[in-house]
Amino acid sequence: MHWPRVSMIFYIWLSVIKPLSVVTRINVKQTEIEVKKSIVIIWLILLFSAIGALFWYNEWVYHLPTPIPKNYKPVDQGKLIKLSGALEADHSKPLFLHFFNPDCPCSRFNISNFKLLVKQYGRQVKFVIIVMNNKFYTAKQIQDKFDLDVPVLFDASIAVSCGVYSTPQAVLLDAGHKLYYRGNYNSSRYCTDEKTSFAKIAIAGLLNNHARLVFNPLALRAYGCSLPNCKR
Amino acid sequence: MNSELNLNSNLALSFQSEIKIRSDKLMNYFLIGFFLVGMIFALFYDTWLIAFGVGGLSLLAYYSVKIALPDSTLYQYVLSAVLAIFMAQFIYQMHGLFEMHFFAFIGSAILITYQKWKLQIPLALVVVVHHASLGYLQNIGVPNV
Repeated sequence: MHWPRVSMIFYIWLSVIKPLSVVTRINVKQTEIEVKKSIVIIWLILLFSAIGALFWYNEWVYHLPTPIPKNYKPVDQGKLIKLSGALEADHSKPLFLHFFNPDCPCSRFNISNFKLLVKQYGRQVKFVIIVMNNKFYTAKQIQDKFDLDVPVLFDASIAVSCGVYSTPQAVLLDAGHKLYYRGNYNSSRYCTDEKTSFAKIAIAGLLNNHARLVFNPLALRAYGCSLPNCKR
Repeated sequence: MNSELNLNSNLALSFQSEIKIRSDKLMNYFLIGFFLVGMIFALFYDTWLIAFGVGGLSLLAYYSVKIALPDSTLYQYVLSAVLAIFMAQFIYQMHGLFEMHFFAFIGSAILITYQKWKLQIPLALVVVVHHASLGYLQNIGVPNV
């Protein structure tokens, strides 16, 4: 045996090769952690982008107009609307029909807005809620939702007569029951935009004897829930 | 002298580890609670997609990072951002109801349990960016904001 040679090899192994292999192992582990961290960061970016996209999608859905039904017949402004029952005989005041579906989120959004209209114009205009839903509700249940004592009807044929195919929709008839306005309450989902408070503008126009107001498409193109099940 | 230093350092480490374990356990309850609160708020305006989608993705973000990098503190920072996202979610679900903004303070208070001031940063950043951007959009008259 050449002891000096063996000891030399052992010395080299101990002082150079072993530390090097330890360093390499540490480096590999560190690289693995770095790669893992990068993947996690990308994963987080994806998740947070998806959260942003969800918020955006939810907003976008509410900005789409309601699909027009296949057999829809538009009803022109100024047309005489034939009503039935107690409404038919009542020509004392202009008539405001609020088409309401308790299952429709948009309908629920504007409850407070409708209440404000009733509070402001309740003496000059007769307000009626028309419930557009196949489920069973009593008039009292609907009145409780609004906290108002206004007549509630469940006659869906009124919607067809007025050309309504979504909720919430406002229909304003003059005292002679001619259609003055049929459309949205507001361009804003929560009815907060005063400039586009179309229903209010229509009532003010009728009460101030403006023969005919011209509304922009945002007022007349129906937005909201389709009838009767608000699937879109 | 050295052994005394080592003992102190070991005690500090064990104390920090205890805080981490206790806080992580608490977060499990709080996060599930926040998710369920989102469900309750969904009843008001049918915001189920937001409640399940945003709430679910937030939980996924927290737990996936915690599982992938258990030794890193990254998941705690993700948690901080997630609490701010829950606040934004609740504000959205309740149509900007004033009281929902207080969830930012609730989230901030919850994070104190980790005894780490830096954890407040992601929450503060999300809250500031959320409020500043939407406030700016409202001020320049963008509709439906």
